[in-house]
Amino acid sequence: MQYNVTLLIFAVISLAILAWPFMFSRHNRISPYSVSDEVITVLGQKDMTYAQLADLEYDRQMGKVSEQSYRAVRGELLSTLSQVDKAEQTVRDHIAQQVEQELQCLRANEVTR
Amino acid sequence: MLVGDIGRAALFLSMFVVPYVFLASTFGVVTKNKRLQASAKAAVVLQFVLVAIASGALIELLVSLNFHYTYVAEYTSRGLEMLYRIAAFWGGDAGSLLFWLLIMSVYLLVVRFTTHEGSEQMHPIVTAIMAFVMTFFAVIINRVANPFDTLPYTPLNGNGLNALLQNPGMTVHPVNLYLGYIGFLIPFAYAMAALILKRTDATWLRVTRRWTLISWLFLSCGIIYGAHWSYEELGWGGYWSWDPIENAALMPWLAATAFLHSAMIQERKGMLKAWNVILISLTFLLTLFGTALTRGGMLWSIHSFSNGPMGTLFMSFVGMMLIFSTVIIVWRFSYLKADAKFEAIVSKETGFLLNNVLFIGALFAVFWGTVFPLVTEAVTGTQMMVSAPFYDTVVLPIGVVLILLMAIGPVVAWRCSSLENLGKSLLPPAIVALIIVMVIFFLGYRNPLSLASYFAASFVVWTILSEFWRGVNARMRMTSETAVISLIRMIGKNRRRYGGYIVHLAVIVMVIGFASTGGYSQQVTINLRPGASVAIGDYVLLYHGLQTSQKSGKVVLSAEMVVYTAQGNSLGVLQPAVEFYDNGQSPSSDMALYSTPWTDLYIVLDGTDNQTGQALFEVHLNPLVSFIWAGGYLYIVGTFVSLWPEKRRQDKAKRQVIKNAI
Repeated sequence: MQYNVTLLIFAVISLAILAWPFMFSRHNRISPYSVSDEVITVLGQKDMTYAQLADLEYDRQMGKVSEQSYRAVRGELLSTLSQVDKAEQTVRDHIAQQVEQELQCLRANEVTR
Repeated sequence: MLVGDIGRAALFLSMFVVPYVFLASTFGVVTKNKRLQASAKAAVVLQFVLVAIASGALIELLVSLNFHYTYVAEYTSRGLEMLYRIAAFWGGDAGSLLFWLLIMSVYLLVVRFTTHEGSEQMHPIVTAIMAFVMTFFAVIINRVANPFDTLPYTPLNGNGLNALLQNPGMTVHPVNLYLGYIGFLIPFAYAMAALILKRTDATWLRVTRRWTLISWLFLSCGIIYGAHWSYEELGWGGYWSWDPIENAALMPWLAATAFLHSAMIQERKGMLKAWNVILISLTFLLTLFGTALTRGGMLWSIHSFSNGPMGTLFMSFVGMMLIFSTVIIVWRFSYLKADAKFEAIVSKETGFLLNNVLFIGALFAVFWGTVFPLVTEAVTGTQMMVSAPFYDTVVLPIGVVLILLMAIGPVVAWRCSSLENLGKSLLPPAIVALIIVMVIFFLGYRNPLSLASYFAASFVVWTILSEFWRGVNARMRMTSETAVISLIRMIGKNRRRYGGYIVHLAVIVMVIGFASTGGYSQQVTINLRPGASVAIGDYVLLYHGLQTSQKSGKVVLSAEMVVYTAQGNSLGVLQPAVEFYDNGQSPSSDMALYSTPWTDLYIVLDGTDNQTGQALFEVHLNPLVSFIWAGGYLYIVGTFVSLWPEKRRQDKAKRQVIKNAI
């Protein structure tokens, strides 16, 4: 008897907690404006390249790479970095364009109303 | 009764709330329904609260010795110390499963409410995967091993906790192992989420790096404390016996260690993506497999819990998770292509790859040795156990090569290293290591495997210390700081690298302990009359006689031995004993230990003749055992250095410096 009452009380509280978002949350759809995969990928590449540059500098200071290898690898990494920068800019422009388009649509809807 | 009813009701409800977390998270993702996802998030909190209530209730029942509950009657008794009443929470099958569920609930709560850049989309999927695993545990606890089951009557006293478990190690070893085992669920869940979302870049590795390191640290501490406990409690003079359940903890550690190294290649170069996903899946599956072995009673071990249906259930779940992870990996395999290729044979990448091959080789050997009895039972009908010589022959040489790699790794550069630079860096440490080994050899210590280990250890120590020295020098040249300040700041700014080196040094300290005890331990088994003595190493032990004393719940029969140096100076009295329990449990041996940093004098009372006062002793002289435990503490320090978060502004400053340089 005691167990059944305890279980009932717990069950009612649990149901109330689980149902809360359905009863009191205003927005149901998830915002489409989360950080885009492209941005994350580009930032990841950027981080990776910076980390490689830092490692290269460290290896050079510790005398682990020859001067020739250092210059070759550094040049390659800097070139990658500039490509990544360009890609990042392209992605950002693309996102800005999308946002602008969405805003225009929203404004147009406002006017029609 | 009220506390027990509350616990039982909370536990019962959790069996419905956890699947709800799984379903709501899954459908929340599929339908992009924000309310459903919010409800799943609330359910995560609710789940934690319910399991915490159930755990609190069980602890209260154990502490108050409410023998009406089967679990309390089985694992506690009147006179049991408070510490062990609480520790009985994880001392038995049902309680330990609830403890697992509690840890998982805490982990899930933390994971669900922490945010990392770029991992927001992964969160609901990670939650769903973790909740799926938790559902299995919640159902098992409620339907198969419920700690709130009651007896039809209330006994006057309980059976009491197993005598071997009444050791302070009981509060440390299992807890650490569980925290480690369960922690690997998190990187596994993130890896699966990354695959499902086709986000196979290094984001999931960055997000889970700390989780992986923390789990790895707990698992390592669990293994080391377990070895220490075994050494002090089991009275056989050793600390590692290649017991199947010891192996069950070692296997995920081997896979996780390989993963920690290979993850660095993906983070730096975008390579080994598929391999990393496979490794973390393997680590997680091995933790489940280890649990199945511990609980299944499939293999004999001192650590086994039971012989019930638990093993079959867990093995089925391992199979289910194996199928799940395999399907996901195969489904997304095309997204796991490497961004770059290996450029040179002499490079850090190749070193890490070789490290992985060796770790997996060792893992395969340990796995084969562990499951061999099951295989032979399936084929011939009888279990054929694999003993220590198999592991010593196969695993220890791999270990020596791995240690040598620890020496080479730090001096090799990423991408490519010149052989000339490598030679310059490695030759001095190799010469020093050779001189050290020759000195040890001429001092009369000639065990080949120990000598190989000493060579490898000296080689690594010298290489790592010179790495610190070169780093400090380079920094002093640039900043004109003092050597000490340079060292502290250098470690502070490269915590991951130097924390790793400290961990490597800790492993070496432990290896010196392993090599010394493995190669040069002495043992004497002798029957002594009162007044007789025995000599071992630089010690002489004089046996005075037997004593009997009554303690709470047990009778203790102890032998008094006075320890002298070879020169005749008294060092004190040791009292190895045998304990006989009132509740009928098998008697247990309580060894006596005289420990110095260099040797352990370890005495076990094996048998007695109460009429004549004669006693049979097993005396061990174990050199450098303290190095193993000291290495363990250094290991913790090194991992904490690696774990400690670097300041964000330092990252920004670093970027700025590099940008300016460009």
